[in-house]
Amino acid sequence: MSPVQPKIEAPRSPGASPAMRGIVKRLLAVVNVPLLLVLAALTAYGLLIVNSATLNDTDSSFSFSHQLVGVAIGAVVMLILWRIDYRRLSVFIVVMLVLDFLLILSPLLPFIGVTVNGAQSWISLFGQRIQPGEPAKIITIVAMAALVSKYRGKLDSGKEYLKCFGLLMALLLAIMLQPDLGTGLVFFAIGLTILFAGGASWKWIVLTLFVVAFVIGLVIYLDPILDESFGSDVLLKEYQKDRLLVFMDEDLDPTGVGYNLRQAKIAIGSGGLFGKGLYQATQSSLGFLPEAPTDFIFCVLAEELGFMGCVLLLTLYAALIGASFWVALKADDPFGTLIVMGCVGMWVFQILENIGMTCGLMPITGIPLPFVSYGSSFMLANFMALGLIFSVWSHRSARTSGHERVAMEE
Amino acid sequence: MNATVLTIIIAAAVFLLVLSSLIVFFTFRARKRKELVVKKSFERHGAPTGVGIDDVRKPDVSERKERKEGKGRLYAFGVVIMGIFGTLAMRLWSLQMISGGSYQRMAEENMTSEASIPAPRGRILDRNGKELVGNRPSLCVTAAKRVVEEPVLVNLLSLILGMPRGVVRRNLLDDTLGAQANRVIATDVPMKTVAFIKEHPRLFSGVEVVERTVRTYPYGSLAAHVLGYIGPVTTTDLNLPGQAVLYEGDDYIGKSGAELAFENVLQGIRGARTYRVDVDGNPIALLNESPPKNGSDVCLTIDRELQEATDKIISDIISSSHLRGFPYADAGALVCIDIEDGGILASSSYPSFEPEKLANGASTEHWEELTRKGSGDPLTNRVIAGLYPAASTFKAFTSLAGLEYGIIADDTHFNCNGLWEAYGKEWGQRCWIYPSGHGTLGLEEAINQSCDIYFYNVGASFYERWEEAPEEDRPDNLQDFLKTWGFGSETGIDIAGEAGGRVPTAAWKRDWNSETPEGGQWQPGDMTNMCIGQGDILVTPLQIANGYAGIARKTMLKPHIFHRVLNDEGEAVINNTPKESEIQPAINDAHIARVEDGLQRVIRRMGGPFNELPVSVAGKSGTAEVASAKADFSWFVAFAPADEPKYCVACLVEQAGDGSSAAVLGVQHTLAKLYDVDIGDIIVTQGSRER
Repeated sequence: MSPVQPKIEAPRSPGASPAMRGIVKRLLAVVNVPLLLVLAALTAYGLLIVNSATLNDTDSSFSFSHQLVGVAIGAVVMLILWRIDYRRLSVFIVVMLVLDFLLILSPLLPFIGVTVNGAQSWISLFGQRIQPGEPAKIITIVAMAALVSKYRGKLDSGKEYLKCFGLLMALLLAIMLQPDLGTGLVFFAIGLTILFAGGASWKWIVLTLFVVAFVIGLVIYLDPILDESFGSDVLLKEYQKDRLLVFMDEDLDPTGVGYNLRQAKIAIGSGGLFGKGLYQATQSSLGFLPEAPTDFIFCVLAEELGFMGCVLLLTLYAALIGASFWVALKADDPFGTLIVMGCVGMWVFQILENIGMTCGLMPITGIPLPFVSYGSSFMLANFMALGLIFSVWSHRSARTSGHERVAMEE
Repeated sequence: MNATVLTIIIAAAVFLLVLSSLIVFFTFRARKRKELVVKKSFERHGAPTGVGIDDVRKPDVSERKERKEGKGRLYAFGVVIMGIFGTLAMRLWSLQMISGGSYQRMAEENMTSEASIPAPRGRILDRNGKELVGNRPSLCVTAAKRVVEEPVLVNLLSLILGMPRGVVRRNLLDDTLGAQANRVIATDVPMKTVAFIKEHPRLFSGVEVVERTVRTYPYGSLAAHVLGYIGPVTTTDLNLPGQAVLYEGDDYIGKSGAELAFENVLQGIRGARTYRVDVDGNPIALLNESPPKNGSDVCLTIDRELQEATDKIISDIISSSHLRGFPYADAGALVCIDIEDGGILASSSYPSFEPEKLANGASTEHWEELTRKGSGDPLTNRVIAGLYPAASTFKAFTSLAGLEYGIIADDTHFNCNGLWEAYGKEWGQRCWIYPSGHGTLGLEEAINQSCDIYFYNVGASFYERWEEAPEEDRPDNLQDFLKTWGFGSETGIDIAGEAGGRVPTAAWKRDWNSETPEGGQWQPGDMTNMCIGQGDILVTPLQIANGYAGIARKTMLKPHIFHRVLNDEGEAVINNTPKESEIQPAINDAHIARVEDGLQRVIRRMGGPFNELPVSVAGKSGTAEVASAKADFSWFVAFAPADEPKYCVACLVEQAGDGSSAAVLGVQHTLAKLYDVDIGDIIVTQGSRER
């Protein structure tokens, strides 16, 4: 993943006036153009696929214009965040954490909480369904980054590590009250990325991974025993067990619990090299593919645009992450770096899990695909993340050219 | 594609908006903002919180080291991410590029569904084009098996179909159409009921109304055994070799008679429709359609009017026999052959059955009723599968054998005094006329009077020829000769289920009695009994009719019921061609003339209704003794006109006594029908003991 070289210098256009050249120079200094271009390409690509998926989908509850509104709101929020100096945010740790918990727990409140597919992950405000867990991800990124950046890249103390990790666990626990395992896993990925990038000592990271593996093993081991003694699903839900079984054996029960994975794989596989053509997906338009516009949107893309379309998407993601890495490396302070890395961790995990589950590499969990999946709350979260990254870029001191720096020192 | 353009435009517009706001946002206020931010940062926190300010002063060595370490971690993380992307890309390559083809097939299978269009089965017509078996549409209510577990629905069905609940349940459990197939609950459901079911799909989930074509038999059980019936195709049927038609699980296939014999012609070829379907299997678009090809109509040689007459004649003889002291007369066969081409004009077997009840899905009870012990085997076609001693009808053939082998010469006479003791007193055999006698007889009179002793003498001569030959090379002259007239093997009629009968030989008897060697000894009595059609000889009524037709025609033909195949326009496309039997008897016109003379004398002597026919008739009666039976079996066979033979009729009535009292009525009335003569009602008279 080669970081894209940001062009700080303006293209030499002999006819341009010095004043104009100055404006362009300043613009390029504050705007990470490659990242902006990747964002534009990804959003356009995502909208195209969502358009196809929503047009084809037999379920009329998905509307393309709704997604457009999500993008527009997202763009505005992104600009606002971009404008704000991210460093100012570091003082609001307590406020952010309170807000975070409020957002995560709001779907559990009476009147506004809405249950969809057995999870209370939604609230209904002014007739609009909002998933507060999505913006909560971004707030978590900023809060965790602010917390961990205080250690200035050196988090050796077990006590301090436990403090940060405990906070992450508290957030996770709050999400599992909904319960929303998918979002919980994203939180965990964000937290772990920030802890790792924030300089947590290797031994704590490794120990954490071991504990996680142990807990997962314990849950899988204890679940049948507890189910038997209590007579109901205690730890894992029935569908979660089924998903794990399907993950172990891809050909299990292709008309029952294995149906989703089988249809997803048929959709992807039948795309071939160039796909069936935009709007020509049969798997989603005829209803074989479940949740086509949301969690399984990658299948629509793979079926319609084939391997080439998939490679294009992966390339755009790689460019997004590469450009973000560049921002992380160029950031002035650990706080900036950690914000960017939190966003990167969030995206990478979601890409891995979403694409991975559709092609059988990961167990099926409800996690959307960044910039592509249907959902305005989700779009908002993605744009917020980019707003933060732009902010980190635009507020780095190195962007200032020589004379400006001198001016500042004075 | 308009939508594509639209999307791209919208996306581009959004980003143009974003870009322009950016330009406004940053460029024109950049300088001012920068200074502000830095100043504010200092003012608020006193000490810098971000690294940005730190960078301005020179960072110390340890700090630089930490930064380096932090960057190292970022690079490590980057490597992990690259690994993740590589894995995803490889997996996609494997799914889309390597297995893409098979997934494309699966996607295609997902969304296409084939429905076959049943092809109407061809009709079966008589030789004049009268419909004997036809089709008619019938609305059936069918249901999935699981419906049986829904008592409310079963009650509802019972209510609207007007059937007892038990019957509905039983039909639901009936798996004669296959375990997975929908069960037929009721056929011929009235339109009103159908409308009710269709208007309430929720109430009747799992219940379907299908229009089926059912077989109709306009004349009820007329020629039931010849026509046969159809039934659901079974796995055994599907595995039969040499099939012209590819059957599907719910196809109906010929099971017996003409339905089975001409299956390949009658069976249409299903059409198919390929639909694009959605996930619920609802058709969205018709992709492809191949129309069904109707089965062809088949004309049989059967003459409906004659068949109607023979069916009635045989049943009348039997009911009349009951009144005349033959209570066990309960079965019979009557067959009429067209001598010219061997076509079967009428073939009746009693008792009979109703093919319509079997063709459209027979109930288990009905099957049991037809096949249980004591049912009288109504499903057996006695014309082709009933095996009986030929009795005196056989004498025509033993006469020809005697003539052929010079045993009977022009002037050969034998004396009959009622008792024949050529092999000693203990082996004495009686003529039927015993204690009286026929006196000295020539061949023609021996046939006329059916003198047993004449034929015992013929048999004795054959026995001597056999005995005199060296032991390892003893000729079965008589048996071999009889076999050339079609006995001991199937006639080759084109309907299945024919029995071959038996012509006993020394070798056969030895094998038959292999457990008791002394009983396996070929005796003179075996030969002499055979000559009067008794002993171990077994024939079918068809063999007798076909043999007499052979005498009349001087050639043996294979009898048949196939007349022609008609195309959709009703034109004959395939006509039957008469087929000669593989083995032909040695024909000597003089010999046949003598036998025919004898046969004509029989009819002349009997007179009665025969005199009322406009043609002369040649025929022979027979009275078969069957050890297990309570009365003799009655035979009669005749052909007419005697001088220019056209029809041959054979009749057998089980346990109805003398041939000249019961079976002769079958022949007389059939000929009367053929020549359109009224000879009155069928009344069995207790005849003489004549055979």
